[in-house]
Amino acid sequence: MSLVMACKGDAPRELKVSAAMSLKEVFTGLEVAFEAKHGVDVVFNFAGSQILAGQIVEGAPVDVFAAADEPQMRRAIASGRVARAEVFAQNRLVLITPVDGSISGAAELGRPGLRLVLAGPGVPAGAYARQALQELGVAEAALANLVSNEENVRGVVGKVSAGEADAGVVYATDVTAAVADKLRVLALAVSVQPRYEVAVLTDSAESSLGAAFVAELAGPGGQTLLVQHGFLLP
Amino acid sequence: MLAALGGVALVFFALPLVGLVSRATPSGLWRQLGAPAVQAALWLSLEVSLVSLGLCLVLGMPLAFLLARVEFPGRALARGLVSLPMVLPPVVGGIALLSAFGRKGLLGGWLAEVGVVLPFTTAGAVVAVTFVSMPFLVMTIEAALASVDPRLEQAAATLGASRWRILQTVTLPAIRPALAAGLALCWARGLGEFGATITFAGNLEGRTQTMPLAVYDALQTDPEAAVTLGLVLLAVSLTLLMALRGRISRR
Repeated sequence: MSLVMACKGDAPRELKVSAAMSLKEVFTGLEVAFEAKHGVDVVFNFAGSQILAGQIVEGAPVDVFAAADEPQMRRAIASGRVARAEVFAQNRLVLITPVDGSISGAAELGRPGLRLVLAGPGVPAGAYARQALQELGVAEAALANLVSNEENVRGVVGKVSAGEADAGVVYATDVTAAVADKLRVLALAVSVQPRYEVAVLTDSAESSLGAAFVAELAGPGGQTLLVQHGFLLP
Repeated sequence: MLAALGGVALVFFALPLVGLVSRATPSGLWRQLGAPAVQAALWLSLEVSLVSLGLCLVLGMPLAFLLARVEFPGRALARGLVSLPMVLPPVVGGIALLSAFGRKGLLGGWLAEVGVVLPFTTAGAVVAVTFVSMPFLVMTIEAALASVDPRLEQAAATLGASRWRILQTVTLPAIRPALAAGLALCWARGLGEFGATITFAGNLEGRTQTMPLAVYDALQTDPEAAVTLGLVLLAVSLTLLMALRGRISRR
């Protein structure tokens, strides 16, 4: 269907938004109102920011890019397709265990036989998690218990909520209503502060719509929604 | 017309490979091959795919005989079940494996009691690869068995040959080309397995990170490395496949 529409000249305007996996709920929450207001079809591409940045480097048609960390936005900037980006939200890292899990804090992550799952080191959530473990002084012991490098942060949530892994480090906002009853959330006392950046691509054919989307995010509507979903404002 | 359409199809297959090769450099290839993570992935892929191929042969051959030669109630259903992993998205296969053999799966408690852990282990990767690739062996051999002329086997029997001898001297030689093709397909599918493995067994270097997972990992951080790794995987698969098909069908 979309293939057919793409060939027609009178296809509705489309805004292609590539966004970090952890932004899924907030961005889809903005979708309906934004589409009605601007008469546009917003198409989301949610994945790990490193995958999205890679797609942008490879020339994928994207209008707006929202990354979960600065290094991935830097890759997009290095490709020449992004001029500048702005921080629009922040997050917190938490330790999650299955609801019947036996650990009560990060200090126990080195316990023999424990199964720890993190996002891969190239994934923003994985990079932040490793910084946090380092800061807590448990990185070496914890990483010895690492059983899987997931491709995005929701993969970590999936493995822990399914009870296959004993612990994982994710964003506070990843403990969504759908999985909250399967998880125990433990605070991590660290200074690592995940920051989300958003940018309109310079070669976007819908750059004014893209700017409107970014304005929506940074405006009262977007910021309220972000807070509702547990994000922190910059 | 035939040549034109066939040519389009050929170009369609060849062009992506040419593109891959055009992006690789010999020095890059050499450097990547020496990288510990690549070597670990390569050896793990060989180990996992070979152990799985063995399992497929030991379990899949009898299953193919069962499906082809024995009338039993629900045979059509059994055939459907066996072919299901070929059409199932591998990620769904991985979830299904978790629901059966995971810690919280149907057999999870029992497996834990006997000390078997599959998720996040190399054994789990073997299970995932076997689940996805065995159908290719079973289906190929079953089809070949169905086309063996039963009169040949009957003739051997009237001459007093034992069932084992009939199998060795009549049936197996008749299906040898299919066996070679089935093994090659099964192995190739196993070497390329990604979705079920990452879902069921996770992704950890040296333990469950086979070549396809390593390629995906590299793609996210170092696309050039992904290209080189992809080529290595391609070369290994092609060499093994050609060697295997050549050897078995010549015999």
